Amino acid sequence: MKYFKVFLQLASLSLKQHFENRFNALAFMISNILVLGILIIFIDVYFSYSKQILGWTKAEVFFLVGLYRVITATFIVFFQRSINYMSRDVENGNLDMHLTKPINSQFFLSFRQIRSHDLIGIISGLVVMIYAAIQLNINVGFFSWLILFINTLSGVTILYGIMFILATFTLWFGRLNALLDILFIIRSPMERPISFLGQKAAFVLTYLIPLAFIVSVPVEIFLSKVNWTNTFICLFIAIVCLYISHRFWNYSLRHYTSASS
Amino acid sequence: MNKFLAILKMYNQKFLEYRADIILWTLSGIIQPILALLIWSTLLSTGVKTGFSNSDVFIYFLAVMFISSFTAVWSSYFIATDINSGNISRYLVKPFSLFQDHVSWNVSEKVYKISITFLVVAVFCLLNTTTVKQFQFSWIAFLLSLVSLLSAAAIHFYLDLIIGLITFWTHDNDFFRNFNFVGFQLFSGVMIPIALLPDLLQKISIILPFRYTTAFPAEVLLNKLNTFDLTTGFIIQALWLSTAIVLYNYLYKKGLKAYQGFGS
Repeated sequence: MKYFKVFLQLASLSLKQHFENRFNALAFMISNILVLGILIIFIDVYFSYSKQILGWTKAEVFFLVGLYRVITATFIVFFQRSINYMSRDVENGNLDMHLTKPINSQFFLSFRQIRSHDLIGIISGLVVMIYAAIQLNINVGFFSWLILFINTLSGVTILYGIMFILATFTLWFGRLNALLDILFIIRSPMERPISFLGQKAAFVLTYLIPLAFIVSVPVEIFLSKVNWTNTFICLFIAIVCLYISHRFWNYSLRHYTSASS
Repeated sequence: MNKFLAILKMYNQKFLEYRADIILWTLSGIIQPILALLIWSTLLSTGVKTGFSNSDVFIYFLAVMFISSFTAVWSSYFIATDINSGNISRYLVKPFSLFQDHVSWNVSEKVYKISITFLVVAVFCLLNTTTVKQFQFSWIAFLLSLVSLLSAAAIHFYLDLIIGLITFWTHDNDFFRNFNFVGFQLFSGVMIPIALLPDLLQKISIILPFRYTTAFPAEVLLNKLNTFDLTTGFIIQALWLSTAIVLYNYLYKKGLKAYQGFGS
């Protein structure tokens, strides 16, 4: 409960900061929607050569793009800015101050700043998902939507786990300004079905780095391309990612030598 | 020249301090052509006919990876921050200009980026030797491609500086940088070769500068353009380059006059 209250405080604080610059926010939203438009144009181009690619139809891939946007934007809204600050904090020694706060340090460093602009990513993603679902004439029960919702949450969790593990490396390197670029590297392969990247890449992104379970597998479950019991694998990986990020953070803190003191 | 070398050395030492960043920056610069290469290879392997053969796609995207590293820019953000914080004043008193500073930074960081990209390209080539051998290499195309590569780097660099300088008047630069990113995604040919875009977008891309920062040198290397397209391509590239240089110098002069020196 205490953690929930702190979260609300932090969220309202960052909302106020963001509304200081409204023009910036508007420009961001427009360009954010344009980026989604480009993704859709690209998929349109792929499908102008063939009605079906590896068993996927255009509307199915649109649905995936929608979910991709929802999951990555949710991550960005809640965690991206906070995780980005970690590099700066470690470099200039501010981290020490955060560690002394009477609250779990991983919690605080993850939820410090909310990026409200990116709510537009969630909304536009949902619009694309609904459009694609109408195109596909999807007629599934409540159970499938519930499973999709659970898988969306575990997708966000897996993404958070991976990003936090990578961000924790700042404690070892002393500085990792490229954290923003890491998100770009990680999310780009998820913009379309993982199988589109070829067998070798799909193997790597399924079994070595579990990116496939963030967007691709949840959509495959929803569209009945694979059995719904795969949900348990998604959940399992989410829990493992969260657990490793927690353990690695505590382990790294023990070896952290601080920059300024 | 000596000044240039001195700044170059300084930046070089800065990078060596934090090596993980440079690898990640390079990767994020070439992740898109890597993915595009994988996607188009998969599409072709399903029997799709696009007018591009397997080796065309392969060489095109490897070239784009290399070109992306060679022409990479990142100055606009820092120029904008400098203008808004008043730090840009340092160029008014130090014995080197904003242009010299950013060129040196760009070149010194790129030496590493290009070397890392070379490694990635080499790995791809070693894994696909048969595809590479199918490519019909032409020395003339290669040399022409080098010429367009150099002007591509210059255009991209000047355009980025110009976007940074706009901050003198707007105080906020995200807007332009975001739109530049959007245009670059669609029209530079990093994800989809321009020849495979819908007709309307192809026509737009011929006029806009984005193609001449990335796709054009790769298209020249591939040797699939006819003489007319090749000549017009070079002419438009030269036009963009000269426009960018003139505009930069004009904006820099005007901008310093409009500059209010925040923070000082």
